[in-house]
Amino acid sequence: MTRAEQYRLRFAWDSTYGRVVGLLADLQVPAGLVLDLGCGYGPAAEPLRERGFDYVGCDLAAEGRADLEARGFATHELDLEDVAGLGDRLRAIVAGRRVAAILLLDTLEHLRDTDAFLDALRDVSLDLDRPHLLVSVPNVAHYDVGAKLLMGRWDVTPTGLLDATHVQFFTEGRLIGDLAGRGWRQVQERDLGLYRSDQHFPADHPALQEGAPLHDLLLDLRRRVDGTATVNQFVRAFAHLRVGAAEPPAAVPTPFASVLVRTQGLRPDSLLEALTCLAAQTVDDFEVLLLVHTSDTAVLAGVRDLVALFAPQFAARVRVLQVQGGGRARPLNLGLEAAAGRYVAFLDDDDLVTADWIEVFTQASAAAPARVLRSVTVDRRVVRVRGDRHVGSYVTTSGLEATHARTFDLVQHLFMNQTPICSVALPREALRTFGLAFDEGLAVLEDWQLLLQLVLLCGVHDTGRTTSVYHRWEGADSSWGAIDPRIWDGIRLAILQRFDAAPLLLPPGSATRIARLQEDLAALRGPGAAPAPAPLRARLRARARAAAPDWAIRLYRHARARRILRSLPR
Amino acid sequence: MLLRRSLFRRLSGFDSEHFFLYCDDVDLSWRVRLAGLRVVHVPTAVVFHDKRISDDAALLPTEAEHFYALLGRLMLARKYDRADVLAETVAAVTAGGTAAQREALEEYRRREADGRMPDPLAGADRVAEFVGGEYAVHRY
Repeated sequence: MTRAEQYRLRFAWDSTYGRVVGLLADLQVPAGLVLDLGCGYGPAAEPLRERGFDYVGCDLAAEGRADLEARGFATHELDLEDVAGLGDRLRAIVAGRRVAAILLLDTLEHLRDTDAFLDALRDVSLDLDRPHLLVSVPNVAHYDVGAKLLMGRWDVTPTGLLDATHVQFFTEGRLIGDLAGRGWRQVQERDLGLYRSDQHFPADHPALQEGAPLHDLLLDLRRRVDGTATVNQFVRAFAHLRVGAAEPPAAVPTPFASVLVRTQGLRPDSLLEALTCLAAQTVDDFEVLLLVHTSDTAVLAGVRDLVALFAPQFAARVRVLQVQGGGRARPLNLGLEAAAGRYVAFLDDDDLVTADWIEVFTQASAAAPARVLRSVTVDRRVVRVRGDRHVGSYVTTSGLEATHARTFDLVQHLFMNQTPICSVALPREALRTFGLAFDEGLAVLEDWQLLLQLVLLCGVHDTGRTTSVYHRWEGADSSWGAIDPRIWDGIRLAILQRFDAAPLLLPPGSATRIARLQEDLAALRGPGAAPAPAPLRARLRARARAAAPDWAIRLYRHARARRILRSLPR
Repeated sequence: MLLRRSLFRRLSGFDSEHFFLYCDDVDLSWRVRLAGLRVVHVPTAVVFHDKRISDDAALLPTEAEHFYALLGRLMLARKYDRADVLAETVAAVTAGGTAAQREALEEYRRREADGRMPDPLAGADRVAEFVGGEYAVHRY
């Protein structure tokens, strides 16, 4: 079989070619010329002709073209690597006809200089009134390829994802980016998914075997990154929407942290205190996203007025964003999307922080980059007082209370959260990479879930410093008072079940930690937990009875024997 | 703190002879009340007090705070004629005060020996409020 014959693929609706025909139908592309660049044997030619398209195959290799011509299709010899002559050749082939679409199927990955080729194709496309561009390329970021590469394997094969003739490799990001840079925008996709690609070998490799913790862990992580873990072939349609390249986004300075302050604007005196704490920080390398969860424009205006009370060097770093609808987590998620900082920290409008809150995080970040940075929060109980402007809207009913664990322990945190959200700074790169956000479907504990998700991936660095005060509202003013403990516990168990769905990446030291838990449990249960040995006398009596019951009973009647038996240790 | 300049002058301002840090403001406000005027608290005026918090959730005072707060308290008790508060404070510091507090107590005794003590104010008991370790009922 010749090299070209290896690519003599039959048309099937679930193949790349079937999907391309489907894309043209999805987009209701009107009939016209379809230029198939790098056509090979052109398996899609017949179905396209049946749909009224005028199919033209272009390729350098003669075998495929000869086959197509024998099937009644026009073909042209075309060297796609000859980018200098590409425009003239294509214009000559088209000869003034209307072009409905250009197909680039399993072709880009064979071209040495894709940049030069795509530049030339962009110019032709503009001359030809910007037809749709349909592209298919193999996904080098398929889980099978990535997992094996991680384990030191790169298995080049005659065809498939790592075909020996591929000289370029595409991820979804590269495909979309390369085309977007030349004015093409993706308008439709019909990717070919394959859980087991042609790279799924050796099948017994623990990174490839479903159910093996290594496989399940890696695939779970890969799936969180984007939707292409098991996409074998990208099959995408692009429209040439703009003449120029996309403008590169304006460079936004990256502050150390984005502080997300969540408020409903209903307790302006508390919010003023929280903002004062931020204005008093010893470092100013942070922005504040003030997330006002309200639909009331008067409340929003009131919050803006409050910010305007501060000196410009602080007020200018505060972005006031209105958030409408959704639950408690909605403003936090909008804040995560808008944040520009390397880390994200959180302050509710009723919490307070010391002046070194951010500074301690910056020091910790230098010592342990990209971890979850964790300081300590102390609690203070407060109670709302209504209508008494002489004492403000709340008074404290306790001093500061050290109720949360000083250092992070994963096992303890799986049992119960010890980390109020104002005590952490979360690395934003990890949040972005894994698409992590607060689960808006959870009534409570959404911060606990996100914290655990991140900690399992990034680890924690304890700063050991107490830098925040969490106000624990007494009465019905907080989520503590408002939620039935049974519902609370139900949500907790549901979150644990989610973590149960995939293997956990435990931090170093976990083996001893877990073994010790089991030891502690055994010690707490006491020796009675195992079947307790019967007292010696009872055992002797039982053995004697079993061996010679009559003899034993007779012996027991003797006073002396009874004395001896009684004297035996129990 | 906001008061009329005329009143500030009439009261001869802060008592800088007996107070350096701490209790100077309490003393002024009590003398305002002794003069028959009202002191009005504005709870919505927010001031950031730059404190650090210890591992066991206590506010961490500096040495200077220990020294001057104690010296100020002793002076205040003396000026407002509260021998009971004076005795109680001396006993507490002697029993378990910090080094800075014991130093403040020595400084107080030196001043007492030198005759640098404020004269008790007439009618002091009408305005002085010693509430635990504080000088008013506190919100925090």
